[in-house]
Amino acid sequence: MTLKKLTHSIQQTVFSLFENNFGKVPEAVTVSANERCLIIRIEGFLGSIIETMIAENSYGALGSTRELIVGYMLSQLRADLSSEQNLSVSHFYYDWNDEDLSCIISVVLDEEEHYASDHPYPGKEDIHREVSEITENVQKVPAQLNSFWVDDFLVIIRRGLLIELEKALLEDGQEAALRSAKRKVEKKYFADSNRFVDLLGRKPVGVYLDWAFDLDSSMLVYAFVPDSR
Amino acid sequence: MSNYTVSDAIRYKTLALFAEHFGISPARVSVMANDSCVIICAERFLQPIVESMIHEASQGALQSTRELMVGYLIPELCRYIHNDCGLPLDMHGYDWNDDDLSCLIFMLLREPVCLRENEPYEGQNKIHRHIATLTYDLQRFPEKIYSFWMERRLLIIIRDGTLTEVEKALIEDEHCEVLRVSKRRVEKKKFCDDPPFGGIANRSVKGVYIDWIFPHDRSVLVYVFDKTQPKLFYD
Repeated sequence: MTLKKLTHSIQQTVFSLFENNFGKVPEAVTVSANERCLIIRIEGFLGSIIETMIAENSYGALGSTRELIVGYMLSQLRADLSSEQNLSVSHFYYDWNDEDLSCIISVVLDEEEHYASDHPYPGKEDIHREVSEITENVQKVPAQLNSFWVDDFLVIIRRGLLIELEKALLEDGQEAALRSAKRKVEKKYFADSNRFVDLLGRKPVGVYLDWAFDLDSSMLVYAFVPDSR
Repeated sequence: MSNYTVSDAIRYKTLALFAEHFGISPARVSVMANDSCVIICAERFLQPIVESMIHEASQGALQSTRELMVGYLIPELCRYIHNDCGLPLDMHGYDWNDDDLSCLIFMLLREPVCLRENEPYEGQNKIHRHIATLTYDLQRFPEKIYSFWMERRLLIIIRDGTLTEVEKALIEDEHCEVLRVSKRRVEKKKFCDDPPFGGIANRSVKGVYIDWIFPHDRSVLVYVFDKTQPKLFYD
C-alpha cells in the first residue's frame, strides 16, 4: 500500500471510530505518516456541551472528558490499526490544543527506529538549541534530542529528561498529577517562544506535548498549515 | 517568662497532650526556644506495635499513623504556645527520623530574628555553599539560605525560594502532600547521605529532619548532633 492510501485509510478508520462510538464525526481529520510514526490531527470533535464548559472555565470537567474520549478511542485504534492495516503500535502520545480544541495523536510504530529518526532540515541546530534551553530551564538538559518533519508537522523527541523528584513522584503513582503539572508549565514555554517562528519562518497553528514516562521520553509536535509556497 | 520556663511549660503541655489523647507519653520530650523559633523533639512516642511495623516495612501504615497523631496535636499545641505562652507563631513544620522514631516539630515565630540577617558562625559559608549545591542538583539554587545553631547541638537551615515551576504547578493543583512525600524521599536522602560538615562532624549527626512550608516557598532543615559543639571540617 502506498503511503497516501495508508493515510487515507487511517483517516477513514478514525472517522468511523468516532461515528460508531459517539454518533458524531470530527470536522476534520488529518493523517500524516512516515515509516516510523503516524500523526493524526483531529479537529472539532467535541460537542457543544464541551465547548460551553470551556467558555465557563470548567477545565477540570473538560480535561476529564477529553481523557475519557481519547483514552477510550486509543485502545480501539490500536486494534483497528493492527487488524486493518497490519500496523503494530508500540506507543501513543496525545495532547490537545486548548484554543481550537484540536487533538493530536502520535502513533509510534517501531520504537527503536522512531527514537533514532533524525532527518536534516533547515534551522535544525537552532531549533535543538532552543528546545534544549527551554527544557533546561524547566528541569534539565535532555540526554538526547532528535527531530524530523512529517508533512506539516515538526516532531521533536526528547529523551532522558526526568529529574529525581519526578521519578519519585512516578514511583509514588502520581503520573497523572505530574503530567498535568508539567504540561501546564512546559507547554506555555514551547507555545510562547517566538524563536521557533523566527527559525522556521512559519507560525504554528498548534503545539502539542506529551510524555511517555516509562521510556523517559517526550513528544513535542508543532502543527503548521500546509505550506502554499 | 524566661525562655527556660517557657520551654518547660511547652514540654509539660506536649507530654500532657500525648497522654490525654493517646494514653501514652513519649519517652522523652525536649523543647528549645529562642527569639526565632520553638523546637520540640519527641522521642519514642509510638507504641511498641507501631514500632514493630517499621521492622516489617509497613512504611505506609507507619507514615499515616504518625501523620494523624502529630497532625492532630499540632493545632492545639500551637494554640497553647501562641495564647498561653505569648509566643507569636507564624508557621510550622515537622518530620521524623526513621532510625530512632523521633519526631521534631519546628515552629517559626513571627518576624524571626534569624531571617533578618545571618549571624555568622564558624564554617557557615562552607555549609551554605554545600547546601546550595545539593539543592541545585535536585532542583535549583535557593534564593536565600539562613542558618543558626540552637544550644550548640542543633543546626537549623532555612532555604527560601527552592521550588521549581513544575512543583508550583503541582501545589496549585492541590498535590501538596504527594509532593511532600516524594520530596522528602529524594531530598532527605541527599542531606542524610552528604551532610555539609566534613568527615568527623558528619559522623556525629544523630538525626536529620526536613519539611516544607509550600505557600511561603520555604524549607526547614534541621541537623541534630549527638554532642554539643561538634568540631566542623576537621578533615
